[in-house]
Amino acid sequence: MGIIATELKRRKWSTFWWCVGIGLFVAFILAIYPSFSSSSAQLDKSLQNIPDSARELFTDTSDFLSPVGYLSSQCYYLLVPLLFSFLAIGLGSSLLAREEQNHTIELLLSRPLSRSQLLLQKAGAGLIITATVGLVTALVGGIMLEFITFDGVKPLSVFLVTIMALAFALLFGALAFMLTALGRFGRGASIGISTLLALGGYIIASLDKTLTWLAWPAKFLPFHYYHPADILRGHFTPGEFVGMLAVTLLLTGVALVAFRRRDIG
Amino acid sequence: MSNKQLVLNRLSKRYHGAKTYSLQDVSLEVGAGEVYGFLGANGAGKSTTIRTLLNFLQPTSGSASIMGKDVVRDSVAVKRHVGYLAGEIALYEHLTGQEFLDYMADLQPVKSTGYVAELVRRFQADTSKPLGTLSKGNRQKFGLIQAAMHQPEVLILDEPTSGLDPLMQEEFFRLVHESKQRGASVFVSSHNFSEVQRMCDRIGFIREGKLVAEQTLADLANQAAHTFSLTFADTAPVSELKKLPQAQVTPRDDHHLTVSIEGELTPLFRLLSAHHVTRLEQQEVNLEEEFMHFYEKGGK
Repeated sequence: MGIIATELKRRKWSTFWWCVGIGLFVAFILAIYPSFSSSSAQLDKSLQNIPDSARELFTDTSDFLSPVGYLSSQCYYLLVPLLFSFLAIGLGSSLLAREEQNHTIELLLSRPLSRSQLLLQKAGAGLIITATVGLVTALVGGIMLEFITFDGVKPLSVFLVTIMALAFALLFGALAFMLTALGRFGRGASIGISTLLALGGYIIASLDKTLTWLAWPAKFLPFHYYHPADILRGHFTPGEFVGMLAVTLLLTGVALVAFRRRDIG
Repeated sequence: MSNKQLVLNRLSKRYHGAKTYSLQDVSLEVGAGEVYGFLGANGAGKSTTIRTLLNFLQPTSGSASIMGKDVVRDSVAVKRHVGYLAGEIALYEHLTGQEFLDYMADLQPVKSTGYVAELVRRFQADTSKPLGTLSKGNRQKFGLIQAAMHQPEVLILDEPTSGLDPLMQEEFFRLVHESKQRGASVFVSSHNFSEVQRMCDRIGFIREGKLVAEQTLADLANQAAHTFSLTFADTAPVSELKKLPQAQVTPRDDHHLTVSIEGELTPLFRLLSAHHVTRLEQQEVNLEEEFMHFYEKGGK
């Protein structure tokens, strides 16, 4: 039973409940769409009175209740990436830090195991858990689309938007992981900083069309490159996905270099 | 390769931001089949030494090697030969004893599963319960088993008998003896003088990060063999005894004194025959006294 297997075993029930929780949430949101879709035009008209800045906090489309607008505003623009991010940040901040906090890291590093191996196996466990929850969510979304009609939205698009949300969350998980690997931040600080950047980035990037002075700083934030409505319309941009993965790898690389050289405990 | 399996060469450690060294120019060697006791007060540098040997801490200067391999550059290779028990053992509380041992064996394969089972039996370790439910002593048993189960060439143990009952302490001493017999080097940090005296061949005293003295138990015993505690019916003849060649006299009260003498004992006994001696005791090795000597008087 290696480090990855032990970590997966330790977290099997929490992973299971994350899958159940997010899966049910997505299934529920998609299942109740038919009750809105019949009166979508009328409702959308009344929602047009909402100021742009407020609307942009909830969706990246101009309408709330078109098939794409509904999926984006109720599911994939905010809540799914945010929930994935909470999971990834929680994992990133605890995979190494908990071992160090509990001093069990000494048991591992007194074995013939390099620090790089330890860090990569911990990162691997985090990736598997987050990806499992992401894939289950994507699968639930795809299956629901087989039964509920969202005109113009294909199951593959729902799958891809979930994968994009997963990449977005992994980036923040990697940030939390890197902060703990540096050894200068505890678990709490790692969660706090990562969550602040995720939520703050979301607010800044959401408002950058209304508040033009935010446009420049927004370019440095991952949320700026997350456009679920476009993906749901069938315009998946691999470059944005690869970019998020590249930043995730970069953060893991920094974690690796820092962790190899620093004092433990 | 020489038979020095553990070598520290002017090993120093200064923590980030600290003005003083926690470990300064410590050099020592531990040979095959030797048990080395590392004694020092809290904060003297014992744990820093051990943690640097395990490469948990990066040395500021100097070097250390285990089985001829550098503990920093060849850290992974070094750990193939090392069994380690931390001072405050931290275990995975959610795992049962068996799951924990399996996990450790997976990270460092054991030579014989039969030997692991034997250790479990000898230490009467309950492998079925989650480790978090066990008492300190029972957790310490798992700490010892995981350190010894792969039959390492070098054992590094920090306060190994902490929490063990006398029967299990005996079992631990047997384990150390067996390890020594098969040629393993054992490096033990301890506060327990009787335990160190019982199992160690050589002792190093560390104070304020510096190794202030090293002595073999045989030297200490030899030294102690020439120290006598005397009780007289009349007033103790302090001035007469002080005139003996190479004698050191420490009066305790009017009737009691301690005399240490080097070389020939005949002049001492000739002098004593002229007095009414009611009690004569040859002193045994007193590590605690040696330790206090280094700490209270600033070492030799």
